[in-house]
Amino acid sequence: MMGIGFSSMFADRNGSQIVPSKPSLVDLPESCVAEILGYLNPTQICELARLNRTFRGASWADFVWESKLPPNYDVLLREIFDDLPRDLGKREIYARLCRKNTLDEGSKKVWLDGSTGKLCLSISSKGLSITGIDDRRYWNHIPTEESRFHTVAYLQQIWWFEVDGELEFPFPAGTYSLFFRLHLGRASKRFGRRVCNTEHIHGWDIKPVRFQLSTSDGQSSSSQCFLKEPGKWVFYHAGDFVVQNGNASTRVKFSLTQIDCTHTKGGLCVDSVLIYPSELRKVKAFLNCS
Amino acid sequence: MSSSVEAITVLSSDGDEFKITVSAAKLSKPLNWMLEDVCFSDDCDEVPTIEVNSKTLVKVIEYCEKHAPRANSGASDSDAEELKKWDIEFMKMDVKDILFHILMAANYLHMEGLYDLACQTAADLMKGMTVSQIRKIFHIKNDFSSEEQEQLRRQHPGCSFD
Repeated sequence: MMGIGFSSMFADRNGSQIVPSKPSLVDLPESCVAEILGYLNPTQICELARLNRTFRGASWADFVWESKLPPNYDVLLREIFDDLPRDLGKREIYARLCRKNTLDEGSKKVWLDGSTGKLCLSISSKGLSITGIDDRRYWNHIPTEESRFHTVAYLQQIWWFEVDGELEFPFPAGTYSLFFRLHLGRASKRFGRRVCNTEHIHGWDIKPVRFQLSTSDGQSSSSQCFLKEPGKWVFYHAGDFVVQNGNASTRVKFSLTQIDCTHTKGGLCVDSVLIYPSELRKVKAFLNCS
Repeated sequence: MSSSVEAITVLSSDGDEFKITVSAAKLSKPLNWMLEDVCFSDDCDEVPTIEVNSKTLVKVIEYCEKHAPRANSGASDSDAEELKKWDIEFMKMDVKDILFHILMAANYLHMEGLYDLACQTAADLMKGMTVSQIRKIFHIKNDFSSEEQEQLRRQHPGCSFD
């Protein structure tokens, strides 16, 4: 990137002053500006593209975006997109990966967190294996605007509460946290206002629910907690796992259970399972509810 | 190259004379070539000009002299740590005044270490500033046409990737 136009400058010993007396960033060649942008995060890069034409030009440089993409982004592209134009620039690839891309007939969404370029993944209630889901006495799928998937699984009441999931995905190397997005009670809109029906909520204060998580390479964790805060969506942290090699697929199994059959429980919405890079817990307050 | 030469004299674009040691000049390929030119030239009285102004050249030479021992002989980790701290202090300068001169000089003189340092410093300065603050501090003129301006305004929400 360096030394643009050096030979001509160098030969021109007696020529006009090459470094202008009143310097500003405008005078920097686009390659220098791109180098500076490389030290900034994607949101900042886009912001600075509004400064002037040189910055706008530099903000499209492939090498700026190459460093923002996950190291295994070519594997991700193959996994997520069926056909992607071959001539896409790295910035465009980044932008496409940041969209909420759908996988497996709409039961999963995967995207990059825009400001960090880290991978996030979400699995709909329809992508989970829920015991008794087909029996309308226990469970119902209900449409709602409050879910990214526009549908949640609502539990009226049951003795054996079990939600399992399994996933194989080429996660970029890093540490991830897995959450269940749950809601006690059933929310709806009445005259444009949100109301929460709490009539079925019962049994959750008797025994805690249990979260379990394990990976194909032998990591496992287990925790339990009481479900709380009726009328509010809560992200329950089920556990963390570490991905060492971003080029191989990681297999993760997880579950949410309350299988003490001495009492029934009910009145719960199960929306989704979310997998976020653990570092995002520091910046996303909603991940720290439980 | 004659081993007896320890330093050469160069001229800045303002016409001021500066001395730079041979070992320090080795940090820059162009300076090194210039050095060889001077040493092998028949006309040894000619003083080469570096197209960098005096104020900037002082800083560039200061950087070269500081980094030369390590670049030429390699150094221990503690030296590297010390040098890093020195770099940070070195870059605490008036941004409006000289940072971009240094950036351009480092580019022109193929000095990778100084170039990276200046880019990093510029980026750190811009973090957390709004576009209008940056325009003001770094004297950047808005050279977009009104149509482009409008286009950017429309694109911008989508550009935050959220």
